[in-house]
Amino acid sequence: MKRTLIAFSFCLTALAAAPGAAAQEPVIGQVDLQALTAPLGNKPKVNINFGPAMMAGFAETVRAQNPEAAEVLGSISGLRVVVFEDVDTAAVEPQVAEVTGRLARDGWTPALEVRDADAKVDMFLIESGQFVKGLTVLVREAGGTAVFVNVFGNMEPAVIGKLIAQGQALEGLDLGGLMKQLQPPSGAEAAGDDES
Amino acid sequence: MNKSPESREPENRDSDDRGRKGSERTDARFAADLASEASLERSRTRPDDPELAADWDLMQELRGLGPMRLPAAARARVVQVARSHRRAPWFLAAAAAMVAAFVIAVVWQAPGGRPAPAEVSGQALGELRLALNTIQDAGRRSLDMAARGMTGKLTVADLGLDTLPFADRVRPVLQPFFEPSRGGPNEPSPENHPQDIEFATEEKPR
Repeated sequence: MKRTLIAFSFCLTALAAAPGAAAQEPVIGQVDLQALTAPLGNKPKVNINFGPAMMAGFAETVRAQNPEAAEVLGSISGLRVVVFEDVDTAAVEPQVAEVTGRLARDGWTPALEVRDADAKVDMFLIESGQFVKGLTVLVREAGGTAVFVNVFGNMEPAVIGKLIAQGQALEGLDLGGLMKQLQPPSGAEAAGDDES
Repeated sequence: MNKSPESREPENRDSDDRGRKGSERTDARFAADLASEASLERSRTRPDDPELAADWDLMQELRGLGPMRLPAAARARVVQVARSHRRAPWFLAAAAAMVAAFVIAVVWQAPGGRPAPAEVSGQALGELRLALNTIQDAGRRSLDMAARGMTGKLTVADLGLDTLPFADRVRPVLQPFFEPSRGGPNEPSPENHPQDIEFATEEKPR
């Protein structure tokens, strides 16, 4: 009887531990940018981090108004944008080298590398079949601005083109109008009404 | 010189006969020994022959011995092992249940399915717009810098953009840097950069 209880408790432990194990499963295309923020003071000017639930929420929010934009957003599982200003971007180079080295080892493709007097840029892509699973852009400008971006999901290459080249990822979507609808009355003015 | 098999046949026949006779003698002796051993076992009287008498004594002594008993510790261990073997199916069932529970939990939490959509606020949409603007700006600046580095060295055709699935999106960005008559990298014409967006320097809305 005692041993049966022990076995039963093992079952409960397994049930409790399984979600944790699943949650710790690394997602292809997702990159931990935290290591890059520490040398720059951990106080970014912009720090946006959306996971799968939020991206699904965005997709459902815009679906009625623009199904195509909803599809684009639905193909993105998460995005992380970190922007620093007025920092010594040279201080983060060792961490950038470490991250880019890890990406190369993990099968990412260095799509773009710029070593300019004004800036250094590293852009990495990881693909699986016909989809782009992840995009990582690391920009360090001599003027003191650093931009770190990671977008992951099951994105068609055309989505990447829209995201980084033309800015038409949400073409035809009145994002400003949607923001006004969703904004509480007190903060309605701050939302703006630009279209993205 | 050479002898045919037939020429050796009489010799072989002699040796076969000798072997057969020796074997028959051995069998007879073995049978006699076996019979005397059996009669010794059945006998209730001690034989006169000293060797047979010693054998008879040993057999009587062995017959008088009872079954040996295991030491207490060894006996307890044997009983315990027997009991644990009897419970094995219960533990197999428990292990199977544990594995099944783990598999169900993992499949249930598998990342393949999309999570339930979160409630989206206007502020979150503003953050999304800022994020997309920043990604676009960083991407375009990167392409601009790459194009600047290639000016005068390559033509648009050299890039092989036509093979890319999003060539129609990238070409308008790169075009001005390869065609000075339509505006160089330092003078991008408005029609080639219809959606210039200020670099994202605004504060995080939250």
